[in-house]
Amino acid sequence: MKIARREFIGLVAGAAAGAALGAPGGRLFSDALLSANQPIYPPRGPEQFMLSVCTACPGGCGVRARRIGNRIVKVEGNPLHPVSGGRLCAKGQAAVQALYHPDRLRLPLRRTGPRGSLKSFRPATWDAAIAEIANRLQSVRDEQRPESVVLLRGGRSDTATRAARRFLQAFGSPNDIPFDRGNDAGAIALFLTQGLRAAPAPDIRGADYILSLGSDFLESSPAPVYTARAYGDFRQTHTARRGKLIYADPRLSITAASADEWIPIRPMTHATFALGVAAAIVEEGLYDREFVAERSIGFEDGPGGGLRSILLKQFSLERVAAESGITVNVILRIARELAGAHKALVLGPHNGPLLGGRVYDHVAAHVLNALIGNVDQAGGILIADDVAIEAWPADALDAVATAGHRQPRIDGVGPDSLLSGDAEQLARALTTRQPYAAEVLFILGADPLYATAAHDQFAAAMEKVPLVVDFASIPNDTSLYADWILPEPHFLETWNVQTSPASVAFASVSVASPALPKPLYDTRPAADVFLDLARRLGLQRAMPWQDSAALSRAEVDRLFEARRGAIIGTQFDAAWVRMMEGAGWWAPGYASADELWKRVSESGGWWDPFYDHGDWSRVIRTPSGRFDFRPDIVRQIADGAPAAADGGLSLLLFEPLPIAGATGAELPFLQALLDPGLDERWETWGEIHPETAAALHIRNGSWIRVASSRRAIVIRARVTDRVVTGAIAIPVGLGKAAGGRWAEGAGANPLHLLDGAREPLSSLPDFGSSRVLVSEATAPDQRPIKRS
Amino acid sequence: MARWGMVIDLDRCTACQACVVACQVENNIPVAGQSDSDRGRGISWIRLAPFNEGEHGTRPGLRLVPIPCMHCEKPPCTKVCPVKATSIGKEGIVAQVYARCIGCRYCTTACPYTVRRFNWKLPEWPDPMGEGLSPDVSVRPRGVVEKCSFCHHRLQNARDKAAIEGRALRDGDYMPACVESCPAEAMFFGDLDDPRSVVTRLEAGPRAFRLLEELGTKPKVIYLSKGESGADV
Repeated sequence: MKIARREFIGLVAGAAAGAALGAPGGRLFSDALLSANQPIYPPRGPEQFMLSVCTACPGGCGVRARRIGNRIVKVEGNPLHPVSGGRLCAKGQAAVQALYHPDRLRLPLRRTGPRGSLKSFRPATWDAAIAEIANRLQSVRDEQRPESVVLLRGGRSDTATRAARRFLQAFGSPNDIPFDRGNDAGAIALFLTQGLRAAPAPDIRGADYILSLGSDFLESSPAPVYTARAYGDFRQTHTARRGKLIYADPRLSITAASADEWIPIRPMTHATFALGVAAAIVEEGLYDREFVAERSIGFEDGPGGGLRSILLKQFSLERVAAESGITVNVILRIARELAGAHKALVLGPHNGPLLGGRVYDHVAAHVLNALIGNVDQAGGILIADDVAIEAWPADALDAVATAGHRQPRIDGVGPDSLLSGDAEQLARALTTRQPYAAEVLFILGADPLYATAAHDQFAAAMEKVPLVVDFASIPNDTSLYADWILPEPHFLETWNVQTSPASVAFASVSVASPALPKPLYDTRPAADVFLDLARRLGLQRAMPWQDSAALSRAEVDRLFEARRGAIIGTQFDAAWVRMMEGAGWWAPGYASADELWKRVSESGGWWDPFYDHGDWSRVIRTPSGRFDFRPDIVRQIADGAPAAADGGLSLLLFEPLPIAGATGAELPFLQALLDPGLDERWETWGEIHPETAAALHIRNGSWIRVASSRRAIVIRARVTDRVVTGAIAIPVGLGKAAGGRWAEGAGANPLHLLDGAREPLSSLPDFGSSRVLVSEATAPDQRPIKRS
Repeated sequence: MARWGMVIDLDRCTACQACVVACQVENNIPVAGQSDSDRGRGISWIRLAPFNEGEHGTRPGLRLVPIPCMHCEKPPCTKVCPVKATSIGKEGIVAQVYARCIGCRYCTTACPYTVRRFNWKLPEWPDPMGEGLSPDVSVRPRGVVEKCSFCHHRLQNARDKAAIEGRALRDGDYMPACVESCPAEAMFFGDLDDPRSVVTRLEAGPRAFRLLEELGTKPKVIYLSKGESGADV
């Protein structure tokens, strides 16, 4: 075959230029490769695809890492995985950058100087770390005060979190405190109306009409890839007609940009708008009479009148129009469209893993869902199914542990609380040593110093704890105040078993094994640390496994005992399993625990695709066994004063996907993507409506000072009609005190503006009600350092 | 011989930018820090371009459109290259030969879609970031222009694989990294000359359009507008 000169060059420059990196010594562009601190040699060896689970967010995508020799060069979705479906978001794609990040922790760090700076830390050995922590824990236990050990943990459903929780249990502390802001409000609303503690799982794929009340679900879902796939099918499939998306919120988010209609309601009027729509539906008799009559209480009855009378008396179209700023015509039209749609779905406000919205708004949204009869229906609000895989031996608690569990939770959360964890109250308790003093604080998968309201109180509280242990791969704001920073491995270096994330309805279990032959650095999985501590404290009866590999295997063995579901597979496989289980059959495709282990290791996981719609005893657990319209709460919303206009602007917060959950700013690929609409990157901006900006004499692109009663930040102004008048919208995720060379000093943290205001109903921090003063400013005091 | 093309369904697209990072990792695009980024010198072969359609009324006037190289049938960039560093191949992929490029940037100016990027400096990977580099794609030196290659190296691998299996290359044998990663499953890739391929069917649908069609560049990246489409894929 004759090869033309041009084709030959094309080959060299294109794919086959693998030779450029491929042959040692034969590098085409040696200058380029020598530009790093050390010459970069290409990976050599066979190509392998390793299965794992992404933990860049709690979304739990099954992934497939492309390994060449001993290096990972790419991460893709695992095509068989039911959450990722072979797809992956920007954060997951950047996992390679996180694995080889230059500022990853390589050794345990012990604080030797004042808190608050990484300069105060010195490298130490794992032996020293484990010995010191174990000694402190032992003395606590000798003093019979196991409750003085506290765990603050993020929203992950992984092996590390389960091991940490089990350790607390075996040790005898009730203080297993979740810090999962993004899912709290939605779960509380579900508890108030349906009586069960679970995160709602909206069936976006099955819906044909979605009214999003400020749910920025395309940007900030608890499971971004799963949600994006569902959204794609909601819009365009060959089987269903195109779904319609209506977005009601003061800010035109990325999700709103994709919507068919943006309804720019005034700040703090989500619940009012939703209940106005509900009133119109009731007024016109368009609600689901069967569901209301047979499955609900509180519609006609209730102290001082039921939902119907409150809606009709208090949420007249005129009042709702006046408060929300939306015309009566639009409210009526939305009500008719919603009630007339075949499978309509209402989503309560959600702006990211740290910003779950207000409980009032979620209750209002869910009342609307119930009125249109979509509770537990296809295309409606489902309740996540789960499968128990905790393989812990029963009756393994000793007397000290049993006594410890009788103590109250240090954050004041009890079995009757609406909150699952209260980080702000924890800070107060640590400071005042009431109800008791804490001796050891473990922080796992959470960054409370970045993400709590009144964060400086949390920093002060950490001073009062003799031993604070933080787990991190790259130090975060909280790490700087710890006594020990224990380096965690990257997810491609470790064992992990992960269950379904919030907002996914089916039960699933994903299994990750290390994709690299050995970790790059002297890191240890948090699960191994807790197993080791248990061993040293004589608690191995409760936690008998050698390491996270053995624990992962034990968890999958428990899965075998569940006697349901199937190995993940193709769409055809899933349809088959669904049909079989629907008819009452179970044909697992594995006959023993060994075979199950082998097959989940080969495929990446297990799931149960069958969802039993309308299993009312499972999804409605109120005392009456019926959906509760909560006329009492609706009345509170009605009586609440409209948003006080006491000067200043309403502060609207949101989380861009690349930096959602206060993670991502450490990666330069993600910093460059903050807002494609405004071409924003590497800095924090504030979106202001042109009229508001004109009144404040603020020009587009100028520096502005945004001040609350607590403090002020200086950010860049973006004058845009993507936000309503009288408000400023600021992204959360930058402005970190730590996080490596690319995160430190970039942007500002608007969460630090928040005061400790709490929603009266739930006592969740009220991130929606803050008002700020905005004025022109000079460039920020600390200009971001130059990062080449 | 295949004629490779891409279809991007803007109704499914959520503007999540997974394609942007998938491409950067796949194609050894160097790390750009803040100062480079501020000067517009960060490199991405596919980007989300905002189209602001006037004021936002009840219809959101913001459209975010992923823009890779269009791999035009009549590419304006190849015509202006003084050294034939860029050319269109038999399968319709517009290639860039870094070793020939003299960095004059006529092509970046000629491209109406502004998808070509210039390497203002030596690429950098602070240790150990270089370990994540792919052996399939060459690292570009300073002073040359680069652009989307439709992940040409994946095509080469697919061609090798087909050859080993003793068959011709066909639709579906390969897809670029952006298409593979797209969470909303909004991107499709295949042979526009194969009447049975998904891309051919979508191209013929009522929602299909091309960017700046009036210029006569004949892009092989086809967009699907929002709206009802009837039977589609």
